[in-house]
Amino acid sequence: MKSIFAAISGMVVLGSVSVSALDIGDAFPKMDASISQVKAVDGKTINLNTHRGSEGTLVIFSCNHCPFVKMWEDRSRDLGNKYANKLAVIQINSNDAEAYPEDNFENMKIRAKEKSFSFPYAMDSTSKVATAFGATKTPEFFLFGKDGKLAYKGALDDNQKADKVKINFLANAIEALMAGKKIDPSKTNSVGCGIKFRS
Amino acid sequence: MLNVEKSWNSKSKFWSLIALASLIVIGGGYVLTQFWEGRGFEETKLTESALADITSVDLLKLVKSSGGKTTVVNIWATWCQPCVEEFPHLIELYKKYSDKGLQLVLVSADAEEDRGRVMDFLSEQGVDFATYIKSEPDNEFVMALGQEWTGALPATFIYDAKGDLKKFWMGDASFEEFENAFNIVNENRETK
Repeated sequence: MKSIFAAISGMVVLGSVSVSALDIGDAFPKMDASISQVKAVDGKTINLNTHRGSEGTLVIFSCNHCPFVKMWEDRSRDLGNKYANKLAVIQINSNDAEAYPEDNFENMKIRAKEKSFSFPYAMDSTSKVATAFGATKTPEFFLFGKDGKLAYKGALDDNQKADKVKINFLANAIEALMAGKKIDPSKTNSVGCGIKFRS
Repeated sequence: MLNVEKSWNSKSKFWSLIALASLIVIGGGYVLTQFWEGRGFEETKLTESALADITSVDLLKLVKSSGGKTTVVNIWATWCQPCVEEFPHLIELYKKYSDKGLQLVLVSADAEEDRGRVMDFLSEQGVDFATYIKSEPDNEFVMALGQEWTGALPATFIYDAKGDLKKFWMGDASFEEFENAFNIVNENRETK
């Protein structure tokens, strides 16, 4: 039975999982090694607790199957590739691959190759990285400054369709972060596929 | 007199046969048309008004002016697999409770360009009541519907008769889960 009758509070209920959302200014979540060490499609293990760039860190919750991911994926890839030398960029798939076989590790390898990601695409094999971040959907972006604090979270831009985009939320946030300017808005939303957490 | 009557009866029979034959031809033609178009007899062809544009402001107005009904709002999209899977449960809920205090507000989060795709899906599902398509950018729309919603689909909100949010969840649900959640809010309405 899903916990859909949970009281409405600061917690977010997604299927059978309640997650507490990370807020602006919160520190990069500290996770047990069993959770923080994620395997990327190139076979390397990345420890999220130490994955930091000179200007900050960008964590992208994504996956293969989600049509919303596909709508934003090329723009997300271009942005990730553009800033991968300054930010530690990592794309994470937290979905239960039993629910969505398209999201299994082999298919992640194929997608990374097809899309030429120049940043790691890793499997959150427990779905607990998503829980630690309070991530609930794909695609969802978390940008941390070099101080390790959450500077921006939410959407890549303001439209599913590339030709209708007016505001590049995340690109603006990254530029402001690197210029030491105020990020506005620091929280945005877009519709996306709910993460299928492993039970 | 007899002859005249006989003659009249013959004519009457003749025209009756013609009328019957016409009915068979017209009716049969209609059946064949339906058959060849591949449409079920129960399926409804939707008009454009069955999918109205809606903003978050309009949506919250609908919730507040439910006429004493409990409102179930479901945000979905044709692209969203769990949304599509749970959709028949919402139609079942509507059929069972629309005359027992339920106002069902279905809002597609598909892009405007995909309106046709949405209409086709609604037709397939046998939807014969007004539903909506989001006509506001994601960010504003998601933010306006409350802090709990991150934009993950599907999302379900249940408001009481006064328009206060009583239940909310993201992710798909079974018919029983929809029904139980609706009944809890709706029973409170009835006992007030």
